[in-house]
Amino acid sequence: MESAQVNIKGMVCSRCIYTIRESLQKAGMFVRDISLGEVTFCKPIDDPQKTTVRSILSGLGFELVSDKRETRFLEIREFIHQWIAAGSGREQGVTLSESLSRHFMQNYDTLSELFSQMEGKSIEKYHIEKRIEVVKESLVYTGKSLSQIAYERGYSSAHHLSAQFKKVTGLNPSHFKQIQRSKGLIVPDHSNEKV
Amino acid sequence: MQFGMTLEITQLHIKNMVCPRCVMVVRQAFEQIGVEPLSVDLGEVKLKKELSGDELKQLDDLLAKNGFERIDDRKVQLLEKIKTLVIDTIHHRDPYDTHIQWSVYLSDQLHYDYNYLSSLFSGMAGITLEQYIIRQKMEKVKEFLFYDELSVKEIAYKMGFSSVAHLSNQFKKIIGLSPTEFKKSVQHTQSRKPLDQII
Repeated sequence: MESAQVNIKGMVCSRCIYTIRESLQKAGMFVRDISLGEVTFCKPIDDPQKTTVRSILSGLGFELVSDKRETRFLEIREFIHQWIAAGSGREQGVTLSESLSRHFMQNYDTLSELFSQMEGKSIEKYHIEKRIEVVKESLVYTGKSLSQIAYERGYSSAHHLSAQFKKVTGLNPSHFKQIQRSKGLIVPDHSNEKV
Repeated sequence: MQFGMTLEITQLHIKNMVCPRCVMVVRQAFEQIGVEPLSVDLGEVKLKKELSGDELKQLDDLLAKNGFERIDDRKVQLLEKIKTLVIDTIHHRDPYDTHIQWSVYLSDQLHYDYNYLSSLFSGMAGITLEQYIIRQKMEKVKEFLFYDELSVKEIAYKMGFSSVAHLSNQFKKIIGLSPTEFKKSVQHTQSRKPLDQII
């Protein structure tokens, strides 16, 4: 039979197991097994049930481990967006990895592993792609030169930007600009959050 | 002991309380016998008046059902207080005080000479106090490993170990596996222990 499992933070003794079992059963959840840090349900749980579980647990002073990971992931992503908006460190002269680990007071490897697991691509790759999206907008909507955009977005040179642009989009920046202008429309990538 | 206004307050000492849920369950036990405690903390309950023999018996039954035990022997009380302080310091304070000097801290809190506390502990618990502290710390490390949020290096730093090697050695000595091996082992959820069963 199919089952579902949640990992819980803060369980330390048999009373934790007892109170969680009691409260979940009272809420009509079918609990198959509970051990320190883990509850197994008899069948898969849907989103409303998950919300119930979450509120029961937080009422008892616990937390879902996955929530913690999810929250941290979203924080990292938001940090990257702000980092790009601020010019990708062009004024501070520090790298993204340095400022991430300083900001979150955690090893970069740990943050990077979490991010890759949740997003499906590495922080570096994500940053590069998002940054190119901003460059695209500047190319089409402003009359700025490539070297000016490169400077604003924290690239070491127009050449560097150009090379990275080509790698990500397959096009030269100037060619891209030409196509977009001639079409008279731009199809910006809104599939993800705006940067 | 305080005198005057607080003369009437009675204290009960309860063994095996380790977390906020224990506090909840103990509070419920008192409710069930119709007594409202002034306060319930880890290992200690304050009451307005003494319980009758009948109430005590009912209470003891309820406590036993949940794996607790009321203690009235002074030495046992002291032993439990030591354990509670260790558990509280290691498991319930974030961040952990990496500079803690256990001998100073425990004798300050309990108003006994550390040598006395230490020999009382090993005499009654069968392991030394140092060993107990290490085991509790390793249990905390296990918990961190289980959550898979911090690297071993970060855990070592958080728990005040001088290096990853230092932590790994101690972990291996107590648990029999290195932290990385422990993390990989599929059954690791089964290998966490309730904090009141560390000895």
